[in-house]
Amino acid sequence: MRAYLEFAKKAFQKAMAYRVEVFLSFLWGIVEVLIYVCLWSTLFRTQSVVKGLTLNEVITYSVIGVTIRQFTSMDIVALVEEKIRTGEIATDLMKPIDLGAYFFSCAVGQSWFALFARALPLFSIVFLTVKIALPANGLFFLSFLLSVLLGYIVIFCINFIIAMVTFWTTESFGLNTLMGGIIAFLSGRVVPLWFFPETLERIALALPFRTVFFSPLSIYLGKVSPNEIVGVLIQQALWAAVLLIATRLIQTVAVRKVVIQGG
Amino acid sequence: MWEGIRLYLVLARANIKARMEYKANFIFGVVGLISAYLSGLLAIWVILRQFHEINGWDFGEVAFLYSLALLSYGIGLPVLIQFKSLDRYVISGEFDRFLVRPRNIFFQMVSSAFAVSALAHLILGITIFIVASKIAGIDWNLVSAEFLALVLVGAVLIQWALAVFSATASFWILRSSHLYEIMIYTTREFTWYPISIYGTMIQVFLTFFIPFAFVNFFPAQYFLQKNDFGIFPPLFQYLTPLVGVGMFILAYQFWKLGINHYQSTGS
Repeated sequence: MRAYLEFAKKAFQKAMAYRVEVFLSFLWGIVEVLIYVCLWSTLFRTQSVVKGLTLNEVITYSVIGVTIRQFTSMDIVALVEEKIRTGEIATDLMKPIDLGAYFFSCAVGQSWFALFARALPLFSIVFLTVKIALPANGLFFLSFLLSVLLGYIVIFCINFIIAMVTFWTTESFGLNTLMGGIIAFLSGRVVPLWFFPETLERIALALPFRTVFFSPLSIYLGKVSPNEIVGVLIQQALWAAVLLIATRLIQTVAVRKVVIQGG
Repeated sequence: MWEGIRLYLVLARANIKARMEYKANFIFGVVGLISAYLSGLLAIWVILRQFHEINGWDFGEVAFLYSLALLSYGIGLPVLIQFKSLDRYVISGEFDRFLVRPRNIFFQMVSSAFAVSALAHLILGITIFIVASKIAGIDWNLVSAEFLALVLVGAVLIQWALAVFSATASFWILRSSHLYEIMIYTTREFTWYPISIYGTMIQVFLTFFIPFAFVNFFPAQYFLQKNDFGIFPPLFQYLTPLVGVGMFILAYQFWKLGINHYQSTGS
């Protein structure tokens, strides 16, 4: 257990060293917020309420979405791809540590850093300059936080699965880019699912991606009634469980492949 | 110069062949990139289906805007990629290799690798361009077709110029690939939508500092016969080729300055 904490700490420090990258990611967040605020403001010029949402709520949705994204950013796929390229993965597999747990520790270290270096500063700046709604009460806020954490597990699993696939394809670019685009759209990060046409909305709700953004954001905005919150959280937990099992399975298969082929 | 172009094509072909050996990854890459961009366009489609128009631009028009950016980026990408990684060569000292050859350094750098993902941008750009033109109801004739060619050349030159600026900076500040990212990727995000939705400062920035607005926003209005220029005169819809040439000349001068500085400081 202590070893994994060490890995997380190392990942945290490593993230801290790349100062320019941190600034760039932060800048990217600012750009996203700017674009969303201008876009939604323009779109809401002719109607003040669309599908039961006000401009303030939609802007809040986008801004908190950007903040969550800053927090959940992790480069596990790149990490694995690099280790495979250098052959380091072979030595890693010989060590008595679990691969999945190791990368989860790295992700946690990175996200912990991202929370303080990017997410919170970004939120603070935006909060001071843009009118953002806050959760109605403590219940919604805490549920929101729990929802974000469950979504975090989901997005980690997806990233890890993509990373494991790299054991076969050696290059992650195609799959990673594909998933990035799909997730950005179907998770409700770019456009709230409430604005989706019915069929697309149903598809998006059936997939795990929305647990990363749409679920926590709809709780934040109070678009989910208190009794429904538990239902949402349970759905998220189920997805997290399913995906965690999937990661264990694919990890076993991937590791076996490396061992058989001799790294 | 023709020798340079022929050489470029030979090397490009060799590079593509090498990449094709990893066929699966090649296909994955193209498919992945196309899907990512399509998701972005799908998001815009969903928004416009709900809201009908963005500042008077309907889906066909926004898609056309999108395709102009995509197309010009795809056309320019093979050259663009080289300048993106220039800072790496400068740091590692590999750049000296180019100085020894008896050819114009500029052209050498351009042919050292070929970005195959340009294919994805071109396929997608052309497809969306054709579809969007239909939806937006653009009537093509000889004049508009000729102007399109000029616009694309201008748009490509603008992006090349920006890449050259940021690459040249590596002669002074080494890790300039970040500057490249800021200039190209971050600013480009704004131009997926008509820039008239943004405040004055952003519009001025995108027109006079990092002139991405001339890549798609201004010229698109010529073809779409729109009149949504924000704070700028409608004249700007014709200026893309000029802006492109002007910026590229400036960038090349800056580049020569950088080379001189590099050589005089003695790597």
